[in-house]
Amino acid sequence: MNITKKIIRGCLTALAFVILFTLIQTVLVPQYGSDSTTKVEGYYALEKNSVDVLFVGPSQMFCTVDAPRLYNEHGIHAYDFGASDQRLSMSYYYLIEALKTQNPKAVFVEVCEIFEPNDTIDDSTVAWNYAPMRASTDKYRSLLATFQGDKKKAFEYSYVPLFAYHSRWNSLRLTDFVYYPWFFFVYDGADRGFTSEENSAPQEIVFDKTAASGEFLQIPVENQEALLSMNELCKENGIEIVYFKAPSADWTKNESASAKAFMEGNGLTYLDMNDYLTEIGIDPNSDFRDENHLNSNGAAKSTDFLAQFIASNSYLR
Amino acid sequence: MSITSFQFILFVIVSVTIYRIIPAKLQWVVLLIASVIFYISFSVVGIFVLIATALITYYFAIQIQNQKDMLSSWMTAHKALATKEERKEKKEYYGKKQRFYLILAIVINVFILFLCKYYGKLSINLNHTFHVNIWTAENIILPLGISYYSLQLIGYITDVQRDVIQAERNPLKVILYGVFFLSIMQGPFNRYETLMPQICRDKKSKLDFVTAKKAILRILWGYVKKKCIADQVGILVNEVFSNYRNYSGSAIILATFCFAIQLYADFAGYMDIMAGIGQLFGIEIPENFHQPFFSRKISEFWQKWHISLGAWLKGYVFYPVLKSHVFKDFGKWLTQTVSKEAGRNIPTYVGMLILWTLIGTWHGAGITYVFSVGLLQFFYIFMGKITAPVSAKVKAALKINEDSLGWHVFQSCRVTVLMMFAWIFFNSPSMKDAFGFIGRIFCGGINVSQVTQIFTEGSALAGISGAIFMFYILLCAVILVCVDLIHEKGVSIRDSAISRGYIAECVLFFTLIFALIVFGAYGSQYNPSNFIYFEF
Repeated sequence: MNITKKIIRGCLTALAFVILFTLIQTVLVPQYGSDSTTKVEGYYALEKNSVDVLFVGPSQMFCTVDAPRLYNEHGIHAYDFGASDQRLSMSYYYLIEALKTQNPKAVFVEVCEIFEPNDTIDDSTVAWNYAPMRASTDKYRSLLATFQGDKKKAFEYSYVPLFAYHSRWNSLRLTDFVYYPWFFFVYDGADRGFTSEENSAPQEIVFDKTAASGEFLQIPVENQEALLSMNELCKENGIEIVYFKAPSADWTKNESASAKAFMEGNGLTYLDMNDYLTEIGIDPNSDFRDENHLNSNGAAKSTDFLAQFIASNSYLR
Repeated sequence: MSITSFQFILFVIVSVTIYRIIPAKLQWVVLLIASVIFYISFSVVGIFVLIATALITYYFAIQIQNQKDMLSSWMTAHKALATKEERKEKKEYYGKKQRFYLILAIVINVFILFLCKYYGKLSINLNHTFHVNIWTAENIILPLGISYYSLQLIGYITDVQRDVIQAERNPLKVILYGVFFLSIMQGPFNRYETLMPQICRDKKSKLDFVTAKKAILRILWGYVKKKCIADQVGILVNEVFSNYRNYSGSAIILATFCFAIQLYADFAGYMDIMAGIGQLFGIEIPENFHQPFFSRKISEFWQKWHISLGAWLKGYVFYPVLKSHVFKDFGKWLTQTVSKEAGRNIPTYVGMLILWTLIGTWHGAGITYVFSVGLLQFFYIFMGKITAPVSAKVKAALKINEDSLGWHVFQSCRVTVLMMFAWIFFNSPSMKDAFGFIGRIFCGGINVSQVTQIFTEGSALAGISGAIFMFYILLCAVILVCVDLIHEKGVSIRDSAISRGYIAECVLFFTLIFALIVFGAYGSQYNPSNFIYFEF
């Protein structure tokens, strides 16, 4: 066999390996249809610089902000770019990733995870938040923070997720094999990251946890750093940033007071929607899916309130 | 540096590359440096113990060689003049000196081995049992591979005394023989006369593309055995052996069967990795397994399982003991006082008892090891021998064709079951636990819900669904049996794939690589587990 043939054979082998590797990786890395994967893929599919207001954060954000309604009713191009259980360090990474293709006028960051340290992050949270995201050094850096400096793990999850998720072979479902073809042809990004809970039965929510215990809560250092970094990043890019807390029965008064104190102390704009439940028109008996998440009725009311807030503060000027 | 880590793979690639680049005369130096680096990655203090042991052995081997040379010189000088008696006297004189150095070297080696490996546990047990307060040697470290290199060095000096080899004049080469990284952790036992000529060559061995492919395929298969079979099955085994009181009947039997799969895949997998790496260096290390589960008898099983340990102990302990004056005199005495048969058989049985006790003790200081892979094995073989006449009569009466496949399958199953029973003790922390475990076999009978539970509990650790895990373990067993069956027929899967051409080669390579990536027990979901024989 001459040298040319050997080189061609070698290249073909390498190509076959890469194709097989990619295919297996696509199947084994978790896909969250109608959830974080769809939201992230939807975001990547957006036309460049087409978002006016970007919402970042965990499920409380994307169950509260009805992005399609913001456009249909208020003419604001918005996107809910988040994933379940998203910690603030992850929100910071999402913001970095978002600004690579979009130049929003305002960014709203939901802060319900403000008191949660990174060492309580579990595998599901990592999968929801990172699996759908594209490989990049920013992803690696964020994962490094999430895994508290474990470089090997951060590298695997960032660049070769097959190594990180290989053990999913035993829990594969049909949807894992068909997600991508289905996504290619059907997804239209119409929900713009919003999770509608239209069919959920109304829940009777009791706000008794809001009682103050008088205890001042400490915000973990990594969350403080993330909040300040997001503020810095937006400043550099001339973007208004608002930290907000979605309506929630699980948000106690001392949590609220502690968050406010930090925000005020650092000159950060903060909106606690729990302080405006009457103005928003939230009905605890019919607007919640559970203690922490609004249903579509509650989301519509909150969205209208946020639209009003955006307008009154002239964020889109 | 774990064998299953990327660092180790990188270490091998770098070592092989340098080894292949530099001149043949310096290749052994590369292996020495690589072996020392490998050893130090596990234990810094241990390397000093190893070097000290090797140097002591080296020194006494040189002394023995000097005695031999002096005798030889004397014989040459006095060839014509010396009387028969004078020659005999000189031979005895130098022979005594040689034996003295040999015994001294063996005693020192065994003493270091005993002190590091056995004394700690023994002293604690003595203190506990007899309420005394002897020194427990808590701070003494257990050097990596001490059970292997101590025996190898004893073998080396014995071979020098037996004139099998000449004593090595370069102490670094003796150290390399002891620390050689392909066999320091779990063997196999290399004989000096077969290993060192391959390492210290005058001419470079050529690494052709086909040999390299075969070697890599063998390494991959070894990793698949370890990471995809042994470690995955180990999840279930650990669950049941650690919590055997929660299981009974069929579930316990299943776990026992799974431990056999785990142990075989783990140990043989390691040997495949090391043999493959050896081929990349142009060094053939001895095979340690030869389809052991197809054995018809326990004695045959041990000729096919951990072959090099059995061979070493037979060569350096069993046969020398049988040939010793004490045993010969004992045999003669039995022949005269009891019967000819007793004179022939009883010394052999005593020798076997010594051999099996040593094999058991070599595995560890615990009574579970001495019993499971020592005394129990002796009992199996002994019973097999003394019941052989009855067994022959039964077979004749039942008209059993000993060459038939059915009889072979029955015998292999019998051997497997007997070994599974022995390994219950091997894998139990104490005899009490082992008997407790065995007791659970007779509780509960066939309990389908428990079998389901065992898979669910065992698999919960790896997030595996019960049914898939059950199927996976079955598949692992089938693969191991099929591969061994093919090898038993004398067919090499690697050679066949390579001879069939590019596509077949790619299929085999990709199958092994992707099996390893997907089914391997690695990453944050799994607890990293070492090789089982690493402990010994």
